Amino acid sequence: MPLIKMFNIATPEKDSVRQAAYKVAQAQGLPTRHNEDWHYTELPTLLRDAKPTQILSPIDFASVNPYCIVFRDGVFRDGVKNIEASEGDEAAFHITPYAPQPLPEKATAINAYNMAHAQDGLCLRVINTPSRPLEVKTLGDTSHHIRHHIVLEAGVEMTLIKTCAASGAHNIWWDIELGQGARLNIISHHYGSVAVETQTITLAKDATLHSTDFIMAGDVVRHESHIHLSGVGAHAYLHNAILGTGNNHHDMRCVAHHHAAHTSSTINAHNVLDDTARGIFQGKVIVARDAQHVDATQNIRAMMLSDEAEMDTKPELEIYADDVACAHGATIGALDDDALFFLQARGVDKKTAKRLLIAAFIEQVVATIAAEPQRVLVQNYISSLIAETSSA
Amino acid sequence: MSLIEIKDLHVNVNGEPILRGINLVIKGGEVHAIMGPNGSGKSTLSYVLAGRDGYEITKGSIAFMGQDIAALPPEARAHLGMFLAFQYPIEVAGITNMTLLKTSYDALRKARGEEAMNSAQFLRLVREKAAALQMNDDMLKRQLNVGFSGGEKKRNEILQMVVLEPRFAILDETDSGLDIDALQIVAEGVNAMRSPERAMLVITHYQRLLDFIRPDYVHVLVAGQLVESGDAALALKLEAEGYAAYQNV
Ligand SMILES: Nc1ncnc2c1ncn2[C@@H]1O[C@H](COP(=O)(O)OP(=O)(O)OP(=O)(O)O)[C@@H](O)[C@H]1O
Ligand SMILES: [Mg+2]
Repeated sequence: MPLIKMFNIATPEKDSVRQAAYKVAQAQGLPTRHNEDWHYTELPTLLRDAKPTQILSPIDFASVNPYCIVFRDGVFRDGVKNIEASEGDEAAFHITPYAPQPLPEKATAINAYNMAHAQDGLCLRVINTPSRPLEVKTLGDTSHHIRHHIVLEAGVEMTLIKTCAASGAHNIWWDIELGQGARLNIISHHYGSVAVETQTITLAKDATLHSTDFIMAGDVVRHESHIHLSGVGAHAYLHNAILGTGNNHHDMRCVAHHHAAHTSSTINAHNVLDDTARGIFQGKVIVARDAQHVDATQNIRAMMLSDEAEMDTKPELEIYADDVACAHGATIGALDDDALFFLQARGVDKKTAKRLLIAAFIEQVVATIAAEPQRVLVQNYISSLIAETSSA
Repeated sequence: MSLIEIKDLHVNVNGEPILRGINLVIKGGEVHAIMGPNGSGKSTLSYVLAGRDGYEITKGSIAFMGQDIAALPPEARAHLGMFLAFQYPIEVAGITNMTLLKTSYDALRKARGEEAMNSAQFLRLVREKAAALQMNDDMLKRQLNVGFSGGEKKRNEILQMVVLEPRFAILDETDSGLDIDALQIVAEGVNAMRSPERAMLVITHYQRLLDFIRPDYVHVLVAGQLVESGDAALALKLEAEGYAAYQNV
């Protein structure tokens, strides 16, 4: 069955919310290159051409003992008991059953398709700071849509690990809300064969988001983030990495919407492309008229390991306020020959030296993970991933 | 036995002849200094000894401890005990000084068939050597040369040298950028390494360094050729008279 069918399936007659969503979706159709956000990823074609592949086994975070919730093939499989029975943290989580909601106005086709077809998702309020990270795993080998809604109440602090390792094509939607003064750390890592993931994260006053997103592997992975800095004093730190090899197509879209004054955002991306892989990073900062004293930086870098690899970057600014400090830059280059020679001159063989330099480049994203145990797991995984896949 | 034996070495860079017939023999225990005007080929010589790509030997030979090393990659030369302190130390974000030192140290030990040293023991060793160069723990934890001042970078090169304990070290203008006190500290580090089995090639523009690191021989490199050799007194003469006398050679 062509993957495109996962979007064009009939909705239950009686389900008016889903049907309404499906109508919105059908009216727009899947995004094509004419849609600015999807300029580099012609989704219908990619879906048509995608072949089922083996995917890598993901980073195993078991050693940091997270609360772990598993969705397999789009439906909840495991983990709530684990949350409910959590000693000391009983009062941290409040889960409600999944139910589709009417779409917001101007919903995108991806959102609408997701709403129309998602059968399940995590609907969670975090009412107290949990003592351990929460991991949400996406697994399975059939095509599916899935939709999560997470709310962090005021003052709550949590680490969310998003493990996206389904070999079936999937379309994941996240709505995340951070209450006043809430702090969320996200570590997300993708391996999916054909994966579309969208997250909208809204930050109230003084809320802080620290997000590290890795596309480790995957034939076609599209990761889109909309960060809404809606309350004064909200800060978002968004660090991203793409590791493309083979014929991978990895597309990241990261938009910081500054709605309120005294907000800041940092968008960093370090991308490594090898073989004939294609990487895309589109960063965008939008500053609303009343959002004065905004500080926004964007820095996109790519390391090209092969002449046939491709990287497209487009840092954009859309500023309607006048007292704003925005900086952006993009650099694309090869492995640094001087650094390579230096390491060799210090006795490190060329192959190892290359790997070290690639890892060092990605390390600048990994290093922003504050919690050491998680950081070390990511570091080790990436080192061995580079050792296995780099043509170096 | 001589550690390094360079015979009639001709080197092209980008098709241009840069070194034009260098002859130099350095024995264990010796310190040789090379002085010469900008662009005369001093760094080129250091790179070609260390094995950098893009330096084409068109004629002549380089032997290190009796072995022709012209075809060896840089790491193989390092394994034999060659060390180059860079004129322009490079920065690598994402690798800490400590990681670099451990990686290099382990690579050298492995090449010699020795076991890797355990981390705690190695840390102690590095701390001790760093302290002698007046570098603190904080600097060890920082990313390689990132945000280091010019002088700190040079000191860092010397730290790598004293930790790795090479048999033959080339110091390419290590003194440039060092303040007077740092120069003395670095020179002490270098002098402590002098031994009958080791040799050094010190490239410098300033006679002052040679007050601290007394060379056995001083050579003048002009336009890719060693045009004069002598003892430490030659450096004093160069300091006073410059290179004008050699320019028409
Ligand atoms: N990659 C290169 N391409 C072309 N010319 C080069 C290259 N590298 C070095 N050269 C040339 O070779 C000559 C010697 O350079 P080298 O760096 O060895 O000089 P040096 O004696 O170390 O000078 P300094 O005292 O300024 O450090 C110079 O004329 C330089 O421009
Ligand atoms: Mg030089």
